[in-house]
Amino acid sequence: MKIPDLTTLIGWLAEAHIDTFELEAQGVSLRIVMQGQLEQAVRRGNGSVLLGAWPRGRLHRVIANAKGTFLTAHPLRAASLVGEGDVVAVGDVLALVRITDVVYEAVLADRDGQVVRILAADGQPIEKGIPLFELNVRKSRYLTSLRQKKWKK
Amino acid sequence: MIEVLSNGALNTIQDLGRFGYRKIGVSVAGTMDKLALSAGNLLLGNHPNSAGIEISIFPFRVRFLEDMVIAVTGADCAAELDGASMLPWWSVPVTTGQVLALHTPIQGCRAYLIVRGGINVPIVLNSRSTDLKARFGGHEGRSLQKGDQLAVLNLNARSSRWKCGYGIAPPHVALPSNRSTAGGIVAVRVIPAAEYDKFSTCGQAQFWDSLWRITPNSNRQGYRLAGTALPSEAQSELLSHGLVPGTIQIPPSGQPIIQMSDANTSGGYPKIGTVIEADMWRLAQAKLGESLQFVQVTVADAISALVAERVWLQKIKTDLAAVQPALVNIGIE
Repeated sequence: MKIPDLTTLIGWLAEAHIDTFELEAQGVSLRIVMQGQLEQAVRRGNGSVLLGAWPRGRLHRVIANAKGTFLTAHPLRAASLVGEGDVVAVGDVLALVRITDVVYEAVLADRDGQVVRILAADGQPIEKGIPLFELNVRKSRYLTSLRQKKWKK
Repeated sequence: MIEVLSNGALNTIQDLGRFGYRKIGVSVAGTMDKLALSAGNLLLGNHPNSAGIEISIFPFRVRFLEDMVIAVTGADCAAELDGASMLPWWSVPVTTGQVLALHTPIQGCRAYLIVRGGINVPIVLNSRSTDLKARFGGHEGRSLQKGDQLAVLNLNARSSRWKCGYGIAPPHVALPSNRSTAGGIVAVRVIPAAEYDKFSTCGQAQFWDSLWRITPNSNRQGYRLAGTALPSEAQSELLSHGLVPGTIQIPPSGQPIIQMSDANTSGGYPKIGTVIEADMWRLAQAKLGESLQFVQVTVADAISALVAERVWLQKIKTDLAAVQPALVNIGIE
C-alpha cells in the first residue's frame, strides 16, 4: 500500500463519516482514526499508530457570542445544521443559541474550514465566550475538493 | 425597491387589515396569518401592522434593488438568498442585487416576506392591504406580477439601522396546540355561535366529532369543508347579518364554510361556531386536503389563548429591544 492509496482511502472514510478503520492484509496492519476521534484514542493509550484524516491543520475555535441554550438544529427542522466532518464557509450557520425564551441567535462560521468537533451538546446551557466548534482551517487541496463536491450536490 | 421575479395569482401586499368599513360592505382583508406578519415585523423593529408580502404561490423570487433588512416568517419554505439557505422565522441583511427564492413549503402554506420599514403602497381606507375582490389597495389592487417594483418605507432613515441576524421561536413551538396535529389533522378551537342551539344534539355532536377536509374550493375569502353532511333540520336561511373572519356557517348542503380574511361582510346561513382569533393562524397555514378537527372552548378560553399570543408578541418586542444598541432602541412606530 502506497501513500496515495492512503489518501484516497481517507477521503472515502471522511465522506462516509467513518471514524475508525482497521485493515490487516498482505503483512500490513493499518489502523486509521479520524481526527474527531483522535484525542480520545490518544487518551486511551492503546498504542495504535494514529493518522489524521486530513493534513493536520491549524485548529480554529468558534466562540459563543451570547449566553443561552445551544441548539444544533432549528426547532422546525429535524436535521442538524452541521455535523462533524462538514466543510463550512465564512458566514455559514453552524448552530443556534436560544438567548431568551423566544429569541435565537445564530452561531456563524468566522473562518472557512472543516468541522472537526462540536464542543457543546444540543440543549446545553452555554456562557458567552466558551468555544463551541473546532474547525480545521488549513487550506488544502483535499478541503477544496471536498467543498466543490458539496456544491455539486 | 424590490423587484418581483415571479408571477403568483395569490401573492399580495397585506397588512393586518382594513377595519371600520364593514358597515359599507368593505371586507377586512389583511394577512391570513396575522401572527406571522406581526412577529416578522417585530423581528425587524417595525410596527406590527407594517405591510409585507403574503406568498401562497411558489416558487416565488424577488431581487433587492437596494440594501435592506428582511425577515421571512409563516410557512417554512426553504428560503434561499443567492442560493444560500436561510433559516425560517429569521431576519437577515440583504445587499443590492441579491435574489431571495422561496420554495414549496415544507410546513404550512403561506409565507411572509417582510422588510425593515414596511412595503410602501398607497394607504386606501386606512390600510395597505390588497382587496382582491374589490380590486383596490396593495399594489394596484391586484396580486403581484413579474416585473413589479415595490418601494420600501423609511429605507434611508437613521432608524433603519437595526441589528438583525436574530430568529424567533415560531408559534408552533412557542404556542403549541393542546391537540396533536399529527397525520394532517389540524385542531382549531371554536366557540359556539348564535344558531348553535338550533342544531340538534346529534348535529352538534357530529360537528365536534367529525373530521372536516379542506376542499380545493377554498381561498382567502373562505374555506369550504367536506365531511359527513350535517342534518338539515336547523337550516333555514336567515336575514343577512354581519360576518367576521372565523365564522363557521352551515349552508343547506350541510358542509361547513369558514369565513377567512376576505370574508363577505354579511351572509344569511346559520352560524354554528366561530374559530377563535388565536387559532386563525393555524387555519391559515392548513393546506388544502388537510382535515380540521373542531375543539369546543368557552369565551374565557378564547380570551386566554389570545392573551398568550399577545404575551408572546410582547416578549419578542422586549427581548429584541434588549439586544439592540441604544441608538436604535426606539422602533419606528
